[in-house]
Amino acid sequence: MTIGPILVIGEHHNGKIRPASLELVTAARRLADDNFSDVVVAVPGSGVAGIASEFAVISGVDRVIVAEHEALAPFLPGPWTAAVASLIRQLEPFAVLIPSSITGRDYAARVAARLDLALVPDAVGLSLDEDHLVASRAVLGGRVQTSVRFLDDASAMVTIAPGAFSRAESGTSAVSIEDFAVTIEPEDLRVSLVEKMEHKAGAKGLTTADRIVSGGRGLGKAENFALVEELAEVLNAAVGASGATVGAGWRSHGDQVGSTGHTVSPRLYLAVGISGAPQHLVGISGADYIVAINRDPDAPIFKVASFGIVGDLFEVVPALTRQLNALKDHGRG
Amino acid sequence: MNDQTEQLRIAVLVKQVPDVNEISVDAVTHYANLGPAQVMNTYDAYAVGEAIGIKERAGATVTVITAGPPSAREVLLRALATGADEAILIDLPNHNDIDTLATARLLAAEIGKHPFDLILAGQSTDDYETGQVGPQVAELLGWPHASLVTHVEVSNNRRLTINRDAEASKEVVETATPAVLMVLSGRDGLRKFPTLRGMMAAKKETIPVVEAQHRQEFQRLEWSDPIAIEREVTGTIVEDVPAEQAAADLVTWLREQKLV
Repeated sequence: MTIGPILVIGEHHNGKIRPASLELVTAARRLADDNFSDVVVAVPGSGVAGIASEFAVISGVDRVIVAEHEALAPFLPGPWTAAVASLIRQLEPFAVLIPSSITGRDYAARVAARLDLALVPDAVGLSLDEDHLVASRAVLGGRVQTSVRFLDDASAMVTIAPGAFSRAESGTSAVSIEDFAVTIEPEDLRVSLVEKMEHKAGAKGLTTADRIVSGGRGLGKAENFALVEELAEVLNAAVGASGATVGAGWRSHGDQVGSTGHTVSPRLYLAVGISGAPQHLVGISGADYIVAINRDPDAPIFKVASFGIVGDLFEVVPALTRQLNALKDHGRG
Repeated sequence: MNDQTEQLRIAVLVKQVPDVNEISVDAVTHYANLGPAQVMNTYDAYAVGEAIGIKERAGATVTVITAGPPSAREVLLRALATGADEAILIDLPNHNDIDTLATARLLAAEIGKHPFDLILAGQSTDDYETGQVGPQVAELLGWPHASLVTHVEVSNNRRLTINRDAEASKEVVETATPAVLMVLSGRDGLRKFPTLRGMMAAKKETIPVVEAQHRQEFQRLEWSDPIAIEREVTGTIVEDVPAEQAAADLVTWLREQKLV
């Protein structure tokens, strides 16, 4: 029996590959090397030939499939469910890897229901156990990890948490690109996009910000967000908030970063008192540098941090703000 | 004004979850003890609030549905006390032993028995955080869905205008009923709480209990015991140094990366 391929759904935004899709290629390649299957990247979308050729030169990819359809232009779950479901029907993959993006999570769930497949969301690790896929994931606000074993032989669906795998790089040669005809039914298009407001490009708009300082539950109470605001001020950064603080009513939802808030891609993301639940990490995977200040050395945020300080934020943050202010004054003088 | 004869029929899907602030981890084995389910899932409470907001603005009947053990009756009572009209308990003693699709099947089967126009569910659950049940219920019913909903308006001809948070943007989407919406928050949602009088009245209500069908056939995923997450760091970590020094190290690093 030949084993089905590892199917990666290649997501993109504004004509560019989403970095999370490249992390999926790394995850897929490891599995494919273990079970002697192929890595197939499928690119659903409208006008995505260019993106497909970019995927074709990524190291670790064996085939690229373009699923071109104008109804796939708005990144909505309905049409993407139809496209991904038909790809799975056609390819009968061993596993399907989908980014844990906001829309990715939505269409993954629908596809699983449509095709009667088991789905594990936000996987941070994948392995094989006697030819069955095992996905590990964090639950309960990122404090606890479980592994989940797929028991049947049907295609195993997973969404992959951002930052769990390194990004695959460009290789030297291009693999073949095939066209795939997608059928999208009127029922898949019942939700229509009336208006889309990219997040405010204002001076401190979160999604366009070059630097963000975010606060989490570790701040203890709403008033302590002043520490975050002062640090943001000296860094000329926007202020963000974790889901826990928004849930507690400390900050408005407009400040929330994460899968249930804003997805951000600053050069610097400085997380203060944020443990780093997967749902938060989803939102910050586009950041170039993540800095974490947290008392708990086991906080998941340290796994994705380029620089971390294990310590008392109430001491470290004021010290940091003071030193940065001094640096700034010195620079001016 | 047309179609005022029938009120909008809303069902809200809720789940009773462990209090995530009460998780204990065994220091030796690192196994996590989640404790019993006891509270209404955070986003589900918002969904209940959004439904009651619609009821107050436009008129509607609100039915809350849960699949869970007998103790899940508590979250249904809370919803009734907040202003819901009816509640249904689908008897499912080990509700975390089945996958989300199986849960969605049970809920969709129950929903299919009633003439609901609109299903509201929380965006995600506090415990297993899959966010899958809402879209899967929609798919099984053959209805559209929208996630991350922050506000919904229902027009007289039963079209829904939905505000949602999407990829790096805010969206307004439209769809027709019947539909499933996953509620992230809501102007009304954030404000609804059970009243004491509501609690007294709710306790007198009889909540119908529905048997879950074929519950043994559902298992397709095998979960390991939850274990506290181990650290596996790739960046620079500063630990056990005074705050001033740690801050100075960070400033140096920020300068090296040309971030300041």
